[in-house]
Amino acid sequence: MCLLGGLVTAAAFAATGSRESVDFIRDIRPILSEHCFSCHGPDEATRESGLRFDQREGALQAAKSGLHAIVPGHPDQSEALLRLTDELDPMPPVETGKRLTPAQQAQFRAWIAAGAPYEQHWSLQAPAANDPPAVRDRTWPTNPIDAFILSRLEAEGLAPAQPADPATLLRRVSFDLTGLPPSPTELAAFLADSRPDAYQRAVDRLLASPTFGERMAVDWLDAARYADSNGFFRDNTRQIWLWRDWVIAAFNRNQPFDAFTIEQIAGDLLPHPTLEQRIATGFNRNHMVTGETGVIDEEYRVEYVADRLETTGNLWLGLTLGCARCHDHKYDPISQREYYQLFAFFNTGVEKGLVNPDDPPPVLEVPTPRQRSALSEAASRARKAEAELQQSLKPDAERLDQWEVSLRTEGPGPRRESSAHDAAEATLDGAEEPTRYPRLVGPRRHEGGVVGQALALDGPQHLEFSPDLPIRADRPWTIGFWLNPGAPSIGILRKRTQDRGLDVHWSRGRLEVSLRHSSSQDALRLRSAAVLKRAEWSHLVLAYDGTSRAAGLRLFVDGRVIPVEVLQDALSGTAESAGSLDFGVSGKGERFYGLIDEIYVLPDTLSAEDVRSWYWSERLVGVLRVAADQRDSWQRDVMQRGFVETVGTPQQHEHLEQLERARTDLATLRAQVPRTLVMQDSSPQRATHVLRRGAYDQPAEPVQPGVPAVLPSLPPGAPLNRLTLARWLVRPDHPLTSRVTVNRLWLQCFGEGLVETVGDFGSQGSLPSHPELLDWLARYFVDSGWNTKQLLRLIVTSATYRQSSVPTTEKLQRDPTNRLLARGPRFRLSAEMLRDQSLAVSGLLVPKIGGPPVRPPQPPGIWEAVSYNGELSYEPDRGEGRWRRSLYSYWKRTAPPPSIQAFDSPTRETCTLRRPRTNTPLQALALLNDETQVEAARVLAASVLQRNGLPASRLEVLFARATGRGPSESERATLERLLRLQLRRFAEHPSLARELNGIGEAAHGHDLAVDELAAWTLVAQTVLNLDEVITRR
Amino acid sequence: MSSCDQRHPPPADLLLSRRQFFGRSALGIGSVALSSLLPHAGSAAGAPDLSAVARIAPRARRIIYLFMHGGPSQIDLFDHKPDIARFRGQDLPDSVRGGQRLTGMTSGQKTLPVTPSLFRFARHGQCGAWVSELLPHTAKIVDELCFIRSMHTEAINHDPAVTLMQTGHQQPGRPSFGSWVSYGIGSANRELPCFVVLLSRGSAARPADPLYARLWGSAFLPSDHQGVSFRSDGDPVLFLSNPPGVRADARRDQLDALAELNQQQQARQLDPEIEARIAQYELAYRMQSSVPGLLDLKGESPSTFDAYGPESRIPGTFASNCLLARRLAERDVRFIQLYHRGWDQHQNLPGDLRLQCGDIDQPAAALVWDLKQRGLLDDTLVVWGGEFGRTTYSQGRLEADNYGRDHHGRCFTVWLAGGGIRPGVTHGETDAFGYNVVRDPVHVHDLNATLLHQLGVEHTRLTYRFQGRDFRLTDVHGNIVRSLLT
Repeated sequence: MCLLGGLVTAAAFAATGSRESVDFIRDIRPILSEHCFSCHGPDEATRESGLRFDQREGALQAAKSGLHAIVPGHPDQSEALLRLTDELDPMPPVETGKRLTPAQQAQFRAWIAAGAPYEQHWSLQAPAANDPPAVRDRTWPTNPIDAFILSRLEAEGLAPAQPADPATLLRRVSFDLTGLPPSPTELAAFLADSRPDAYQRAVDRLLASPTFGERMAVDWLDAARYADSNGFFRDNTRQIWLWRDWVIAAFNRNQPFDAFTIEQIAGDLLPHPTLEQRIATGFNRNHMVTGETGVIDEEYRVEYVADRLETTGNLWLGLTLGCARCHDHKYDPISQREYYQLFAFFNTGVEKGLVNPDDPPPVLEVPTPRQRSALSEAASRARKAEAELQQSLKPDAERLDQWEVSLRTEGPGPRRESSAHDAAEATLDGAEEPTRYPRLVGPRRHEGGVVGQALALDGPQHLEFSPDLPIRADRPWTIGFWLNPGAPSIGILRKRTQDRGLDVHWSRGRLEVSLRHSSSQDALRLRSAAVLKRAEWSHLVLAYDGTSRAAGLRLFVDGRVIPVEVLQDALSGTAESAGSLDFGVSGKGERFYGLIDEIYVLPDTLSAEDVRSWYWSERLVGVLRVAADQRDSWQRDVMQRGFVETVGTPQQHEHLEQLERARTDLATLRAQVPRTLVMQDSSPQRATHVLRRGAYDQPAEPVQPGVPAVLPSLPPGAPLNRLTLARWLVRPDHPLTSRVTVNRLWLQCFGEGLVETVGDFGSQGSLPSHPELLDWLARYFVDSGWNTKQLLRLIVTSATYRQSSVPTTEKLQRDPTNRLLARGPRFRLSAEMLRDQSLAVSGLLVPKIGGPPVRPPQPPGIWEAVSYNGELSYEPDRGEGRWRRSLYSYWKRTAPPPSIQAFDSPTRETCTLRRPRTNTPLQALALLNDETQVEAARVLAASVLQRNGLPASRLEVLFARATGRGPSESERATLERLLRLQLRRFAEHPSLARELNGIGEAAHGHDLAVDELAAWTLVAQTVLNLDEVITRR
Repeated sequence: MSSCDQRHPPPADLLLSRRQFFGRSALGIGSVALSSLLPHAGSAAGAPDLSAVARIAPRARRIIYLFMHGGPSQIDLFDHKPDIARFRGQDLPDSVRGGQRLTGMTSGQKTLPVTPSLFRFARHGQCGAWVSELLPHTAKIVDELCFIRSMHTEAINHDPAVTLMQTGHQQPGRPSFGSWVSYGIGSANRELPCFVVLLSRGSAARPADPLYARLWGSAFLPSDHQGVSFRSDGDPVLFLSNPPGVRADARRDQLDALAELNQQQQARQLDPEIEARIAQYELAYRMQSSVPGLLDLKGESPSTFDAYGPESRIPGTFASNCLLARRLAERDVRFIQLYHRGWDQHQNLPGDLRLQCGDIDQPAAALVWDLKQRGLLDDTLVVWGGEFGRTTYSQGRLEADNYGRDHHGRCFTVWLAGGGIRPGVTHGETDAFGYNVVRDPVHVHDLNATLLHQLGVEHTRLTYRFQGRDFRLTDVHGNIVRSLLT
């Protein structure tokens, strides 16, 4: 059957139009493009023998050899034809592995005999004004689309299929337009609607539903390579979801496609752009960016511009512009110079190639009205608290001066007897004293510290203190020091032999401290909340009271005790270790990168007041060096805080606390304000050059922005900017934009474009299966005012679309891929639809539209396996984030959501216009075992069980919820058997039932009998995995 | 996972028609169209015409690619440069650098001090290959290895360099090596993926550089050719295990019911895709036992663990992954890709490189030996290497016993073993400073062309039409390095 299928499909194509005459566009140009253009085509640099076949003049004139490749009307004098069969020196050359078939040779001969007529490549000619063709069966067509399809079927001697049954049709159109199945209510209403226009009404309902925009957005996000992370190397997070929400809203309000285009490409250049129009320009910021140290800025900046051009070319023009980046296009009439003229439109931004912040500028901050008022409220609270604090400090001016004097006289430090101290000063002039503790192991380097200098550690070094220091479980001790971490995960200190002793390290923002005696059982372990910031100084104190209790070990950061999580509190041994006390390395050998200063080890535990004074005594050393009247506001502020915290009155304390709370609120609120990446031109504009071989560092002659000569020209006098380009793309007579766009919408409804190569309408792309229909649709679309909903309505209300997808054996053999559309389209649901369907059918789906990305459950370990040093973890959301539509799931490019990836989604690294459709065992595993899928099955089972009724009627409901129809007798029998088996199993093993029922967070069904719920869950899962459910037919 | 796993050997005439579809058809019928043509293939995607792609007799059935992510220092491991000792600390002569670009990390450095390796080198084996003291186990098997000391790449930073090595292009958007192989040849094993990826992190103190899903992605190839990552934590393959509370017998009941129901649907719908789907669910069920069986090392003898080293008992380590690689090779998995992270020694190279070598030396050598003992080395090609080399000068200060090295694309070393590669050979040469290749340069594309050649694939013929162009792993480059072949 396979072989047969292949042949018949080829025949189906060949049957386009009449077979008698040779058609240049259909028959000859593809041969020339495939076999000749790469050496005899548009690219002048590699053109052989001065001969080109992409233009008639070039093909007819004498080649360098003096011979004529093509002599119109005289095949036997045409060198090109003779060379096809020349055994000694054939064309194409042997090494290309290309050969014309005898049929192609015959066509080539016939074409020359007919005078070798040329025609412009089809997609570069304006769409023809075709009237729908006359058809014999006048009853079948419901709109012009059907006339085009039927006329072709009649020529093939095929008849259209019966209309799909109403339930199947509603399911089909609901997925195509909203990405969701119809609800039971919607289905029932539709089946009960006997009005002649019931289907049209259903379509209008779907087009008006806000879920329409969500469904449309998914394809647009693939094309725009939208993601929530930067993509290259560290793949940091970015915010551009406001753009995603803009897309959903634009589709929902049926923004005309021309305006949709203009705002995304050049919204910022419109007169008085609105906030929304500026957000829309995020389209061109969706490309990946790199933050890899060492990258050459301009190299990547050029890549970003090239990516924009490639995406724009594919998405609007259906052209593979990227092929002309290094040389003239080999197949299409686009020169390298023209490529850089287009490049120049996008080469205008202020953004950089090597990007440091997560959200690479230019960025728009977009506070919600509520955030705006909360920000101003917090700001006024801060001002008020500040005023009150100053008021309360006024009478204390003298005390403040005295306090400052005492700070100077007493000097920095803990003001207690210490067992050991290292000030981290470079007084040794590089010479270590190896016999004395503390001693530095490894090369010594210093940088400015909190008090004097600090020791810089970059991996190899650590600082050793005497092994005799009494850091053990049965003695009180305190260790304090300043840290300025330079890496996200570091070892801090250890005093250990084998497993015994003290270990402190910092991982993912948290401090982990352990004091062990022997095994992992005999230990005390703590973990803090997130503390210490990279590249900032923090004062860290561990104060231990010798009780062997977790409560006896307190951690202080910047003079304040910090909350800890007790991981283990079972220390009984002494934990005494003969090892030295080492700073800059952990028990596991993790190293420290960063700065360390003022290390003290004390033979006692300290009170909170002591630690606070200690902190301030060191913290203020820098400020104290500045004369009081020379201090800036920040320095004055720090002094005051130190004063209030150490010796202030209760009232001052309160004011300070209020001030700090207000400041923290402000900072928190600011961090919550959504940001989004936008376009912004630099001034003056950057000059663009042709880049030799496409290389960033090989500029050749300068070029002005412009469009390829083969396409309509720009309006004279228009400014050469993105706005002009955007308007040019959607001018009504543009031959490409409308065709390319309607073709994508056709793909959405039929699973295949009229032109299969949706991103390539050029010479190497496929020919349209129904060229007249494509042209008619393109004109219809433009004439309607680029009305997307109207075009979709026309498509889905056609008789063509409404056919049953069940083939006859004959049709399956003659047209296995259904290019002729003698039956309705059928294909597996997309990744997002599969997940969203399970959520919708179970009732779990949270129908909220838009907002920051969410994190539904995914198996653990995926981010750690690829992220920098394994430092990133995926933290699934609790609550509604687990049940939102899949297009809101956080998209990390280096590790995309696995349940989406399993079903052919792209990685969103480059523009994708069509997803492949595969069928793999990993998909079966994902549908059966993914937590969300199992949870949805349980919730579906629970909702069915909560209805009154016999098992048979419950099965009926369950089946109908997923498929839209009742089960047949044999289907019911199969499911009942499955149910009985599972009821028995789970009755025997209620613990298994409890395990299964415990999956997921939704509480549904926990009031039901456990065995029953579990058994029904497995039945529900089976139904959700039916081919009928995962395929749209 | 690749469709080819499930493929019944197709008749030659079918291949011809598939070839017409995939390879050259100007009409460009894509994979979607094909899915319904191949009821037993399980999926749309498939190999192109083997008669054109695999016109060379294969010398290797499979590749084990040991990728040292970060860029191992060739000058401290293989490319022995004793003569630069007398230039120690002096600025690298401009004539050597020849104006070549540097990364942003050292381009601002005032001097580029020549930095001889701290490590001792010796000649080993009958072939007399130079290996440093950091790799004592590798040194013992040099007579099985073919060293290419003249590898070079244009990329000078990790992301573009790794992407180039693994996809043939510095920017994302191209299929990975393994997915090309899956697409072009497929696998003989019907119960395991064609292309398996195993990840491990190194012991170096420097943070390990990130990896990217694209390195085993399929880009524009049908997505069932993407690599499947076997994980050491949790499910070895994502979603492999039944949910808690669902035992194999219950799952079996479900699948039986599902198959019955789907067969009824097939009778109504006449859709070959349904049969394929039933087969995929069955295959999924079989994978639930075949994959854990593969990963269960209990049957391995103590002497095997001894050979691969103590870490081979710890899941997720490079050593354990090497042992798994052998087990995958025994099961005829076509492309086995290991990534070991942490080879980015910008600073503290002597300490960290020692740790990294400690991770990989014994297991990599054991893998080669083990394959040989089992008769698998003849048709298994093992590749060891990273995305680039490291500079002959120090990044940061050159200390008495410490230095770092920046990325260096102008030369680096990889070694190959088995699979029809000449053993005991050292190919190519670098200049006196170990900066430029002076003899027999081998570009990344040349290496990839050669590896494909050993698999029996003509690299210029393994193409896929996308956006009007016939793409291939070697882009428009690549020369087979014939002198490496037996």
